[in-house]
Amino acid sequence: MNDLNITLNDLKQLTKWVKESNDIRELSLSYNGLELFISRNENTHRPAVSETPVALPAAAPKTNTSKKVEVKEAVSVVPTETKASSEKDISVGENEHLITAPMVGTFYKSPKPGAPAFVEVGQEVTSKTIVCIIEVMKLMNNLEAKVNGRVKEIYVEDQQPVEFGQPIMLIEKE
Amino acid sequence: MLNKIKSVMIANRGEISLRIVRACKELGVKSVAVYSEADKDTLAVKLADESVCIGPASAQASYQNQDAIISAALAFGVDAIHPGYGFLSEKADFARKCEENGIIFIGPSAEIIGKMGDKIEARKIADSASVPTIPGSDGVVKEFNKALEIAENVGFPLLIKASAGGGGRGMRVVKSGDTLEQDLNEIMSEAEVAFGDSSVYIEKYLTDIRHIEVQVLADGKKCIHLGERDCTAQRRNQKLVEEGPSPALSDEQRNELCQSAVRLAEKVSYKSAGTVEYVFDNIERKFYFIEMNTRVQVEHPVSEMITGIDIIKEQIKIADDQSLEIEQKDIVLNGHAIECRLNAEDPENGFMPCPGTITYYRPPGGFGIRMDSHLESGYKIPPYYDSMIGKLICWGYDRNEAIIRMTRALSEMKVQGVKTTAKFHSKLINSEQFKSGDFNTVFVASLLEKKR
Repeated sequence: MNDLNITLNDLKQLTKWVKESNDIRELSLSYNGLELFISRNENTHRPAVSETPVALPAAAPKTNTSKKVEVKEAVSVVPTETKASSEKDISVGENEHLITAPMVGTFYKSPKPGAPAFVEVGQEVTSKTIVCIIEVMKLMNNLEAKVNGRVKEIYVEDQQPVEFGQPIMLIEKE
Repeated sequence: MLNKIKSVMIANRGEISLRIVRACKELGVKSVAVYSEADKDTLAVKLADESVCIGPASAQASYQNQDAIISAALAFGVDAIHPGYGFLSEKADFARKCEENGIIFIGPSAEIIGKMGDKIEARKIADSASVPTIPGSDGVVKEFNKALEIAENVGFPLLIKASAGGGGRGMRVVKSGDTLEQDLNEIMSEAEVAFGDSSVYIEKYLTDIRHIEVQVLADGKKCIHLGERDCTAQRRNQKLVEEGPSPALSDEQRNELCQSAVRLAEKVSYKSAGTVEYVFDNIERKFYFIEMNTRVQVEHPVSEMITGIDIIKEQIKIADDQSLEIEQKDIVLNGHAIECRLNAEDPENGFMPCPGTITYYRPPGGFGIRMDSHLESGYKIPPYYDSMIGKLICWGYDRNEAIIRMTRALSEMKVQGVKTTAKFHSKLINSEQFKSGDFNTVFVASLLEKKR
């Protein structure tokens, strides 16, 4: 990548590099009006960028001064094991309530296989609403929302094993 | 290298969890370390292929929580569980739950754990295998008259032991017939409260003894021994220093002792690693069986150093239903090994536990040094569990060299930020008594007395 111009080819090279690199999980790059974000995480929290592919400026301004490439949040190297987002990756706002697994087991989103999910994202809940089941050795434990509000995010998938303390869903309090 | 087992869940923490992770890596099997919230940043968790948080800091809610561990094993899909030592390693009902849920328990069957865990049952098995046992009651005693009769045959001083006790708990010495009735009643009611079982048995009280144990490995058909370990250096029935071979035994006695352990294990068709514990009467130069530990022990590295056998790997292979390839004739006891159990305790202050942050850690090194520890610079020792921070094992061509090496290793090791028992260990192994090889279980207590 030369100092002033970023071509589509450069972006392709960069993407290729991230793809082939074993120890890059996320890359965030900000340069001259261009913001690029590449991530391997399924449950990632993207910085506020548009989700459509980045459009290059038609012509990069040519000046004589060399511009320093500013890489926001340098490439983070994380262990390659796939770990669900831990509690500290999720920032819980003042007006939000994070439901975490009170025991290690299996997460079920519906009361029975094939039945509709207890809750979906955007759904309103009361404190007594059952939001999911955590199964511990064939014992089904209903989890309640504990607050009135709306389901903002669900972090786990149906039948996914969950650890003690693992984030399950985020409720926006009313 | 393994046929049935593709993944092992390690239901323990600290240095033994790390030990098992290492064995798994060498066997090419996936290691899944469980951890409580307090152990999130420990070395075993970092090095394991995967890790699962099973509960909050309290041991009862995490490492001793049978349902949480089984649930984790089922949810995350592991083939086997290694319980380590302590915690659930000798809980027959936990082994049973594993069996019922199709999880391989790396240890003997629930049935064997139950049998050998019952002191009275174990004693009967020892008798039937011609393994000498301490003169005393052959079964439980519930009444005064029966106890009196037995005591007259055994002679005073005698020891009353709660059948369900262990690890030094639930025992009392009766010096003469005058206090027998009162002592018996007290110990039985204490046992009822502590263990829910008031049955006791009575045995001759030996005053000048050593504690010697034999390491066995068995695959359900064949059993071999890996020599003995001498664990006489104890404080309040807690082992401080272990060594192998024992400086007190002749080759003939060693052979007799180890053969008796093999006979005992074969009597119950034992399958896994185990340790048969004996007391050795210094006065009469006789050994007597006391109990069998149906798990891998803290001090297993001592036997590994003198035989070259990796006990944890063998244990996992046996659980994988592989036959023991090693023959007894292949086992040669080479050199001498000593282990010091390092604790974050202040010897100047009644050995008070000192949890805290390790600001700087420099491990010892060099020829014949093995440090089994999860310590790292910056590691925060949690206050919720025992105070053992590692085991330093030294091997030498002979006992003398092992002592010199251990002394050198203890002095070059640095653990800053907390108090440890390192200096105390150095004094212990360099005391006249220890160096002579001739001491008994009271030795450490009298050493501490002298320093006052």
